[in-house]
Amino acid sequence: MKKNINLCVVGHMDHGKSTFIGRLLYDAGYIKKYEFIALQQEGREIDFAHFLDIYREERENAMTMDTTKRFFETEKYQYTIIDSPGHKEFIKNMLSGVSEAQYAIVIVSCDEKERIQEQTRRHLALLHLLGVRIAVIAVNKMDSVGYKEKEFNKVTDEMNQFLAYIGCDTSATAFVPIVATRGENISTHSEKMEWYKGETIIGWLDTTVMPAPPSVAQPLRVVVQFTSQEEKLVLGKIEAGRLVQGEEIYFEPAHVQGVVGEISVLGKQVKEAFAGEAVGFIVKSEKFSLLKRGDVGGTGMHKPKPCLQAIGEVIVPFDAKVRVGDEFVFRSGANEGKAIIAEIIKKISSENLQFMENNALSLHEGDIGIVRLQFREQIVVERYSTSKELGRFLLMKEKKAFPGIILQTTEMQAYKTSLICNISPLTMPHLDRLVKQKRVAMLRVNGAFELPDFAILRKYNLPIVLDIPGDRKKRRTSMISDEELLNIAIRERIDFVGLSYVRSVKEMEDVRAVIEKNKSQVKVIAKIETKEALLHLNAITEAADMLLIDRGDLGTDVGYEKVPFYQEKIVAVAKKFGKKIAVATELAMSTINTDRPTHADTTQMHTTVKQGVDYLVLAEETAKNNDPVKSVEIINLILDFAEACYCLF
Amino acid sequence: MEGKKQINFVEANLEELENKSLYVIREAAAQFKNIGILWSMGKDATTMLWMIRKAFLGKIPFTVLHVDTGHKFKEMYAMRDRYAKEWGLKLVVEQAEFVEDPDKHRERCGEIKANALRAAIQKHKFDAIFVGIRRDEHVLRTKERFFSPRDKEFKWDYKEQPVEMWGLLNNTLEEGEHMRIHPLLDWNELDLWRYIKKENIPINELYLSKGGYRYRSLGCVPCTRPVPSEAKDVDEIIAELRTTEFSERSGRLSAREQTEVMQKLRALGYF
Amino acid sequence: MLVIGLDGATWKVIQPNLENLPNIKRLIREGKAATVIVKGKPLSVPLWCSIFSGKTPEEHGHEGFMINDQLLHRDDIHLDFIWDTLAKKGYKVFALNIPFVLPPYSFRVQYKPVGYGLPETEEEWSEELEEVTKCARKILEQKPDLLCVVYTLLDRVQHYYWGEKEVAEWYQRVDVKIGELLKYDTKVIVLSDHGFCDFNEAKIKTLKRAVMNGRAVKGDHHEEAVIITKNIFMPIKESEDVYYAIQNEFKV
Repeated sequence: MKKNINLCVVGHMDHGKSTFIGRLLYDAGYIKKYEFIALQQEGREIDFAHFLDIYREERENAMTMDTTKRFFETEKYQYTIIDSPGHKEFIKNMLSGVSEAQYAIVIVSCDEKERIQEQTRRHLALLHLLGVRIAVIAVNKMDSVGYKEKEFNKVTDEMNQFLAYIGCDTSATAFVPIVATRGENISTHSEKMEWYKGETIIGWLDTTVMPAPPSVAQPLRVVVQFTSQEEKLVLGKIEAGRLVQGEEIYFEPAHVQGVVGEISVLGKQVKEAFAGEAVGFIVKSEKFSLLKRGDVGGTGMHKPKPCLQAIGEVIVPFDAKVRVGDEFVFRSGANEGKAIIAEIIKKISSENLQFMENNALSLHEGDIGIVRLQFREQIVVERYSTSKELGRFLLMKEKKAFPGIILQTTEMQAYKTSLICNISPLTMPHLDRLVKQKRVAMLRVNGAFELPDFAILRKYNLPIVLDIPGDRKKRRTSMISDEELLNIAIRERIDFVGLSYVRSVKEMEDVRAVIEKNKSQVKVIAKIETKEALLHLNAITEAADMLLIDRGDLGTDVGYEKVPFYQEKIVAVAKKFGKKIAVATELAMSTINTDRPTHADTTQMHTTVKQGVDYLVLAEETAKNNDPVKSVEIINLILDFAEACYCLF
Repeated sequence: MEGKKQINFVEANLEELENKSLYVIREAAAQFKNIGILWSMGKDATTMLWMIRKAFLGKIPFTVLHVDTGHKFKEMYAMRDRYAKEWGLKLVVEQAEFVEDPDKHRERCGEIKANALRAAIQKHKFDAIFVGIRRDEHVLRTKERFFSPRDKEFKWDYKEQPVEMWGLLNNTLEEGEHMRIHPLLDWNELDLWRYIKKENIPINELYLSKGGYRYRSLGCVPCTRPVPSEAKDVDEIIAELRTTEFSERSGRLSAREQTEVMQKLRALGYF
Repeated sequence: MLVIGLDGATWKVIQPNLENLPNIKRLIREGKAATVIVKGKPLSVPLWCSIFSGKTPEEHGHEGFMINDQLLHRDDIHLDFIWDTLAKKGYKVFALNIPFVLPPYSFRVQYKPVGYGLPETEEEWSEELEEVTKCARKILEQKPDLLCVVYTLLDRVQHYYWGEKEVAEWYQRVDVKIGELLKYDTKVIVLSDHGFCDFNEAKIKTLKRAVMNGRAVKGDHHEEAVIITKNIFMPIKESEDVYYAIQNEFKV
């Protein structure tokens, strides 16, 4: 069985691409009965282009509007030609053809009026970008320059120069002088160009190309297309590597670990499956229910890594604008999520891959942009240079697709800003859904109120904070003393206690002493809400495990008009000492019982992200709200954007 | 100068083709909620059904739809009922308008079938349908995609359709549209028969030669004509496809032969 | 029964050259000669359809080789031709090289038309004559109930050469070949779909351009068609009458 090679033929519209393809197919035996088209007069050329432009519009416009596949065979290989249009308008269609090709044949006309024009350059640049290798460059219409070697050399020199300019390796590029209409040097040597000692096009093809090595030696990457919960079955595609029954497998971003059970390929049970195969396999895992379409599986040695941000190179193939802040549907593998263009780091011209502008605000038709993409949810993508299959994507908006490749991913696996949610009896029925929302990092219990059953809370596997009120006046429904609360925290193995009204380092040391005496691991959050705390900020910060700014009480103590100023300072100190900082009170009150928060709240969330606050504390938003999940969704929407804008990972 | 040798079909690697088709089938299952499989009991549709069964490890979790014009060959009805039982298919039969006079039926067959399909889509609320068409069947098919939307009138704008790159198939549907899923698009006629032989897929005996004739396609009785052939089994059909020219086998010209003829007509001044 | 069609044959050439066309001459003597005057457009596609289906061009609606930019195929034509009708009744019938579609249609015969039914060169015209006749003779050896066969070359010959000696030369060659077929049967119809005349005199121009492959068109279609019958009972006045005349000879 001959191996198949995918070829695309690129070049300027009028340089004879369609004629070339027609001739190639004819010589390989695909087209017969030359006489049908042969015109009686001597010297009239055969119009092979008509074979390919099947639709009347295309014949009339003399342009191929879409790609069509053609096949031919040589002694060595089976070739699939994806005929690409030459006109700039149809770069989108050209991309679809190029996207499947392993090799390209470039056609450039030697006719003095033509030669290397804008389209030729654009196509070469795009080929280089997408990693399609040039098999051979055909210099066509040699008859228009009298078959002169000198003219041929002029064209090859210019081409080599441009290829070097855009960064291609030109050492192995083959140039063949041809006349497509007469079939010279395509499959048979031309008698009119004795000075040319190289191979014909078909000769070069068979010599140069190599079928793509199967990516079996690479680390396993299997993309989940479909899951069946009852049978614990995953249906998907192996993009790289080997899937072996019995091996441990790790799925991200679901974060599920399991063991590979029975594997089925093409309806048969097998022990191993390889890159390129469509598989169905059982995954033995307790957390199977978390697996979903879009997850990527890999083995322990090279686990797939989810990320929230990536740097990508995006092509704008047609009349459309891409702006900073625009949100797209991001499609890669079986993933379909949302991504925001956080930044256009560089704008590049598609004509010659040269730099145009830094920090651009938008990209237009024909531009290529190096962009920072912020994903709404974690996904697995990889560098295009390592893995073509997991490194390429489409950004989609209203049926327009912008292709791109991933240049770099980030190691970041968590969100920059997280949420600490206050829990009350009113929250309990929503808790299941609430903890599934992204960014929900900790649950907080206010010691001034009746305490919940901590055993239930612990089931959610999130850190718990117990707030110790400190001021007797603040007691509401519970009269438990501070000391008692601390003991409860130790006993219930709470993760953090929040000390209110911290005024000195000594208070904190006393608490630490109790914790240590009980050999407990409870950590201490110092709540900054007093004048004194501000005076001793450095010392307190150093002594605490984490800081929390309670703006309500701080405002009462120092004056509400000063709070924003102090917030900034306190955050800076926390960063200086490397401590995490949380901000509380009225973060997003306007998300309660409404579809839209106030501009003030939206702005303040952007501000806190900009300042680098680690946690936003939600009090009433989750404790006194009939629909806390909705509020958190609104908050997440705002934080997604804010992080995209201000966070450099 | 004559071409070196005549190649009728390029023989693709069947496993590669099959893997791609299974991928397309699974992509469809994951992205659409209520998919129907259009089954005519012909070789293409049955092969597609066979592959869907493989994709879901022996099950067919979709409704199978037969649009019945009342004029099918009786052997096809028998085949339908037998395999519906054997494979445990969720089969629905949509009765199309029955026009008793075969000539009158033939005139309107396409329209009758389209009306019935439209009704079935509405009745069962399908958002996607598996259809077993191939690119090499017809000139117009070369522009098809794996996922191809159709509006209520079954119209399709082949110029405006988005590209399908990198295995990312079109999945956007407008209001009132349904998606046609074409898993067999890259298969040619020879690939199909080679696969049928390899897998031993049940095909109707009408495809095999009797008395010097066999059916290349099995539509309705009044609309289908047998062609001259001596191929009595699948091996012989495969040999026939490899060696005899397209137009001899079927009477219908291939896409490229059609363009040759039209080119001729043009040169002769017919248009 | 034998029906031989000669696309474009015309009395304008046959009459003056009768001495050089011995087989046609004998047939006329043994049978009846007449002229059919085509009422509508003298185009091959609608006329051969009418002749073999019994429906007028208005009734069957087929005008040309193409429809919606696609080549017409036999299955696109919703008609029962005379061979379909008789085959259903169990008669042994064949049709060969009937040019109402491209490539020309054959019924129950494996025949590959020369040049897809558009023979261009002298070699191809000769080839058509040879191959069609050879194939027809093989069928006639089997003593069928009906064979319908059409030669298309005269149409092209006359488009290119009208007014020159080549036309008569080709008619002679055709006459020799049909002579080989006429030996086999006693019920015969020899006919043409339309006639020919000088390009400038043609009332309706059938080609869009006056150039064929770089050569000027010298002749075009004329409404007077040839009809010669032997031992056929029904008279034939219009093209579509041929179907009924044939049918009438069989017990249907």
